[in-house]
Amino acid sequence: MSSINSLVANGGSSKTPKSDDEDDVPADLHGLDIREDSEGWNDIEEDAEELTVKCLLCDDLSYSVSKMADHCQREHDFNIIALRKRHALDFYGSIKFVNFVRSQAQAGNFKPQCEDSAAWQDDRYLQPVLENDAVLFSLDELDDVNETSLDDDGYLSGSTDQNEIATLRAQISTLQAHHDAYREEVSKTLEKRWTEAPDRTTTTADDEEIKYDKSYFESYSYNDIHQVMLQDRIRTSAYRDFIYDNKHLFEGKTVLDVGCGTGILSMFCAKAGAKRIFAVDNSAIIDKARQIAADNQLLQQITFVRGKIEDFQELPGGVKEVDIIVSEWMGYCLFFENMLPSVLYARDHFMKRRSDGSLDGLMVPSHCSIHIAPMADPDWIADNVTFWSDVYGFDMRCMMEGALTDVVVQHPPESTVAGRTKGQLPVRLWDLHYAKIEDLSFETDFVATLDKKIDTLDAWCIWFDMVFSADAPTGKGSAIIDPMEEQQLAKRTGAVTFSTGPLSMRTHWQCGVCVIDRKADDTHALESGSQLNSKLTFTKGQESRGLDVKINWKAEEGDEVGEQLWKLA
Amino acid sequence: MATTTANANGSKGAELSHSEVHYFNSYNHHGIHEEMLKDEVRTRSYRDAIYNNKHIFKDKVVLDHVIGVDMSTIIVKAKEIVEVNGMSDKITLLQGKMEEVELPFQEVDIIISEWMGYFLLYESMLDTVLWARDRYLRKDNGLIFPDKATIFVAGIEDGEYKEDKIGFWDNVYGFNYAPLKATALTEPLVDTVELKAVVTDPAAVITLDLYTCTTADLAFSLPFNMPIRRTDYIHALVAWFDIEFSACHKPVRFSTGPHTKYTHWKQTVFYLKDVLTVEAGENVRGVLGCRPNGENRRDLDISIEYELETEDMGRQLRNVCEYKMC
Repeated sequence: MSSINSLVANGGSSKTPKSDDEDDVPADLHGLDIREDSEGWNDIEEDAEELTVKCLLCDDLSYSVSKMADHCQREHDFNIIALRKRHALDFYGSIKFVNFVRSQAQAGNFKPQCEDSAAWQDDRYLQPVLENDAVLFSLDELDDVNETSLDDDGYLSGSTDQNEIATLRAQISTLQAHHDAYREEVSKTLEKRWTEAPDRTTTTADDEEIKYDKSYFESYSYNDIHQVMLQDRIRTSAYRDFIYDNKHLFEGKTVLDVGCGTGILSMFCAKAGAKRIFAVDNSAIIDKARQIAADNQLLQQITFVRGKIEDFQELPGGVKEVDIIVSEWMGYCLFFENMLPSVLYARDHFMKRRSDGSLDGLMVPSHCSIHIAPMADPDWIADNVTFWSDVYGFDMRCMMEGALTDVVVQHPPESTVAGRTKGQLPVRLWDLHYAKIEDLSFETDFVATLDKKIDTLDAWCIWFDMVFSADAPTGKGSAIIDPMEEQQLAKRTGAVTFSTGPLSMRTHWQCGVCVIDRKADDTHALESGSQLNSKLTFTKGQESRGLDVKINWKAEEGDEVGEQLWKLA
Repeated sequence: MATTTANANGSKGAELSHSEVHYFNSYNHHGIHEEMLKDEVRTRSYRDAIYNNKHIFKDKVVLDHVIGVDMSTIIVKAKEIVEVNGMSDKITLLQGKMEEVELPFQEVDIIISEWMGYFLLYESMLDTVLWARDRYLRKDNGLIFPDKATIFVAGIEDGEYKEDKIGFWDNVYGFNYAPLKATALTEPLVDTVELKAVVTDPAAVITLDLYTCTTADLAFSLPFNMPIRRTDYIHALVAWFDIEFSACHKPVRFSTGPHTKYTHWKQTVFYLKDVLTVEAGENVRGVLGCRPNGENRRDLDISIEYELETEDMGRQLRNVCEYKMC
């Protein structure tokens, strides 16, 4: 968060505070979205394409050239690297060599004679045998790859330093291959586009989404947002407490940290005794995370890989299964930023399973819930809505719109909460071992009862709670569970929970306040004990990481009724 | 290598660079306008400069009053506001970059602009104002509101807060976060500094005269002296700016320093790598360097050289610190 808006936000922890908040978390963001805080975008966006490198001699696919070279040596006793060195192959020599070997394999000869370089001198071997051959795009990094050997577990053998170097080289070569493959793709695509449709100058919705996503990841590369998150004690302590209080769950285990940021969760797991931790993030912050882990002597246990988890076929070292997935994915109103689908993807592709296909691992955290409460806050309305009616003598009421159509991110004072749902239960509770993407959009009825008399229903307040359960899933469970379960889960041994609600200490997520747009003459006083029969609907927003919130309400007695849509974008 | 579609159509100024899109988009949101409008020192100064000098403005052609230009979509709201307040016949609003819009007049009598950013120059909107001056302001008796801006610095004692902000990274839940600490030191902090934290006299580093300055003047390296007022420690430098509307019959001024009322600009704090131990009567000599970043002109690269002039050899200190405002 580094734009002018984030400077405004960070200025909040001043000695002469403007806001009413007592604690030391920086001032709220006034509903500003993460996107606005990113720096300039580069012109070339990262493509989401996977890299597949086909072996020179068989159909095996690897995700990097160096991995393919390893495979070739292990499976076919064919050492590409050594051969290149021996014949001192330059760029064109290498191309010819690769195409020669591929054509030999295609002709059925899996042990091509490579002693004499005259075999591939012919210029016909400049022609790619394989279309989009990733090896041809990545020739220069074959120089950097050492001849490595794998032990029986699939881990690279040798000293820790060698492991580290090899892992880093593998990552570099993957990135290089991605980048080169992408450049080639762009060049082809644009050529195609310009020759086929010369009038096309507007960007498509897909382009916009890719651009937005890039700036999404970029916004996490600066110090500020990580300081905010790390200094959120409620958030960070919850993870730390759960991990440190349940060391038995982590000892000797393999862990995947999705969206690791500065690596704090991975480091907690390392301290708790996890044997191997894979920390994945698509933001540049991961380079700092690697450095931090090294400075804390934890690089042996934690392997950092930059990328989107959806792009990985396997984890470094050929690991395909983990025991635990840990992630801090929550956004404003829980689902803003839409990161949970990535965590669910990781669960579906990398979590260990029993023979019957059921999940045999632990999600950390394990459950999440949404709460909602009615609010009466005349002061806020005066400062932020009515304010626009007279600004230095000018009528600026058309500026009010934003305050009424966007979900406002703020932590409202306790006094503004005018009522609760029955039993103070959440309106929705999910078990993350079973939840699917479809389960995250929902519509649910609820009843809110006022606990005091109010002049007007001014707004609705939405927040979320999290549960870290130490109980591994049994294999029989559902995605959406009875809201009453939340309190039961919290009582179990080893469980840790936290709330982001207005009655709890402020977290950096604050709450989502939906201000009601009502005409000046459409106010209805409500008595204590009044019941509001309501419905809450969450749907994915138009922006790929946005959220749409709709609330319907009708007082059991009297004329108070409404339906309104708010956006978090 | 193929380039992206941004250059494919070739028409002049058709595509903004991505960093520009981000900059202009940040002004779309109503929150930033609310903050600026609620900054009474700021808005009242402009109002006073204009209302108390009606004789200067009567029947003149003003860029940003009669003609309003803004690239951000907030101008759509501005048009609505002008309409609702019955002023559409006197005010023409144009959306676009100043350098690209077609004005209905070849020349204007007055230019008004609120261009100042944090540390005065962050966001470099001044370039645009100077461009408008050269292109549109009448050469004889053209007026600019405001026309003078001065940057000041002073040394401050800020041990407790520095510990919170920088020292925080030494121990994050038991882990050493040195790489992020290094980055934190290079980021100037926009925050409110209390007057009692100020240990030295203020030093004026540069005054910009908007009638005569050029964009070249916005990249500078200038010396300053900060005489020490009391025996104390100096952890950081605080910087602020003063603004003057000297065209007014009675000049209107306002300051954004720690000695004055709050403004939304607050002040800008630069933590030093060292802690200076200083005694009343001594002096800190320094050089402030500032220039727009090569890749993104709206970002600033800043350097501060400092030297404690003291007879005590044990406390003598000199160093250079680099910062980036982005």
